[in-house]
Amino acid sequence: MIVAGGATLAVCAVGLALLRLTVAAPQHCPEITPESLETSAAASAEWIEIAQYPDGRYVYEYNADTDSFPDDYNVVRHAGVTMSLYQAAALGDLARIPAADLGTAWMQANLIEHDDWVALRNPNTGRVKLGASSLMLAGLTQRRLATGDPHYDDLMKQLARFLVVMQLPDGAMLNFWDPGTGKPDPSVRSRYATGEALWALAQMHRHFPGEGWDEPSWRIADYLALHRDEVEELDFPPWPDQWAAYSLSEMADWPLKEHHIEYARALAERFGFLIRVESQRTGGFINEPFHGRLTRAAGLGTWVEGLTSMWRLARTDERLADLEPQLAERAICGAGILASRQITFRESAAWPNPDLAAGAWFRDGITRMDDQQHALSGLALTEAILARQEDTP
Amino acid sequence: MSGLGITILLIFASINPPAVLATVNRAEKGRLQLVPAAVALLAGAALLLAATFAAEAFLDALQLEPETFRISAGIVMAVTGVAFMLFGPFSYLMEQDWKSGLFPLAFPLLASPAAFAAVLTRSADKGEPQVVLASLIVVAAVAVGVALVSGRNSPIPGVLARLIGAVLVFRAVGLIIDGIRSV
Repeated sequence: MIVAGGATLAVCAVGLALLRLTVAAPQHCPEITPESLETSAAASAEWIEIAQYPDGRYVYEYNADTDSFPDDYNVVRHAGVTMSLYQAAALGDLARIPAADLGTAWMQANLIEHDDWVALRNPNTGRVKLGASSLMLAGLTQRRLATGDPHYDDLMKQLARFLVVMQLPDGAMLNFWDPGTGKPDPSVRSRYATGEALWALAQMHRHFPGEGWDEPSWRIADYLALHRDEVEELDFPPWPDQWAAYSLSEMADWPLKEHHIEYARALAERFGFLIRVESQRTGGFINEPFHGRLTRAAGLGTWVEGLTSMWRLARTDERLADLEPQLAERAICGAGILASRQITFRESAAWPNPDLAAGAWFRDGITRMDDQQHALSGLALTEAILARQEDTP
Repeated sequence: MSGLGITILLIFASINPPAVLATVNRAEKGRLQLVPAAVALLAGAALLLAATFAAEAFLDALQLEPETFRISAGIVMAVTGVAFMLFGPFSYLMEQDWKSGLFPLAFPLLASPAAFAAVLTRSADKGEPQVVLASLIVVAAVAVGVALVSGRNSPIPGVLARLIGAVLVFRAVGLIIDGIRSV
């Protein structure tokens, strides 16, 4: 009996050990306080400001291993980084506005005009990509939220009209406008651009209610909730689209229809799962084969952005109220992981270029400006959750 | 199905009573005696209740969220279910005394790894009272039932064991999906 019992226990122990190495690996959610969160967000914003050239562009990518800057740029990411600075301003950090305005000035110098709209084009290639204009508009709506300044209102409406031009009858958005034909390229959609456009247009409805920006917004929201994953053949739906999450949160009091709520729930679940998986990643030769590489801050940040958006929606719409505590927990966990992986000011002293190391996130020795963008947005938005928890007795 | 109903079904399928009966029938020449049956009932219930009350501390010690643990529990149950489907009931030598109530009856037949996984995940998700009730009902029913109907040479328990193995796989896959789809 003892031998058989021992053998049974041994088999169970081997099974448990295998589980522990794989799906049951410990989850690490580094503790984060409101103060450390604010410090981390500020450090990432400061990285963006330090990495900004006098003409308004930013350092696109920095390779710390070679202490070099690859000759590359991305206009959509420029607009996104600028937006994240405005977003930080809208959340209370008004010191970010001068750098963001400089980023906007560069975009204004690279607009293309057509009919009654304008769009941001890539000055090197001449390509007009929807996402660049969507994020530029989203940034300006955040600026208006932060300052109440109507200075860019006309520009915002011109950009918004371009977004509407790019919409298909099914609500989806086309990715490129072709300067050669003077028309949108009908063949290319984008998994990113549709949600970005929705967020920008939904915010336009907030600032300019009664001007009809809600109508194209509803059509995009329906497309995202009901058709996008299938039409665009995205595997493992729902695709974790933080722009869609931002948008649904923005539209929370319109109010949303039942199929949007179902979609929001599925998004919330996906973001939560992704953070749980990430919390099991520690890197290293034992953990990495089973759990994968540490996700870049640009990816992890989007999940935190998505969770914070879903948290705000859950606080507004009672149909999702049951998710609020878990969403808060996962967002805080994601923010804690982000902060723990950030290069601190003290650590940066050991890097070849401390100015471009402090406040940044590196993978394989490389940081890209959207690492700081998405991390900044995620961290800044999580501050509201922590503040809420601090206020709760 | 109610929360209690699902918990009972999960624990029932994890223990797989026909498999326990088939194992006893293979090992014993006659009916299972009252003493080992009583020992199995007490020890099996004690083990599962201990797991129920320790679930929260156990998951804390493992640094696992209940949602993540659902996936692990589902895998343990699915592997057990597949083993039942492919190989049928397990075989153990049983001595003709009270000790067989501890091994193999209490562990690993009643308090099987799959049953531990079931009570841990349900306790973490639904609270202890429901799991205590479900564990007592299932373990008592299985111990008494096996004591009453054992000793008959029949292929039916083996067939039923494979069938319940399939049910366990079905529920386990649901648990894994639920774990993946949770926030």
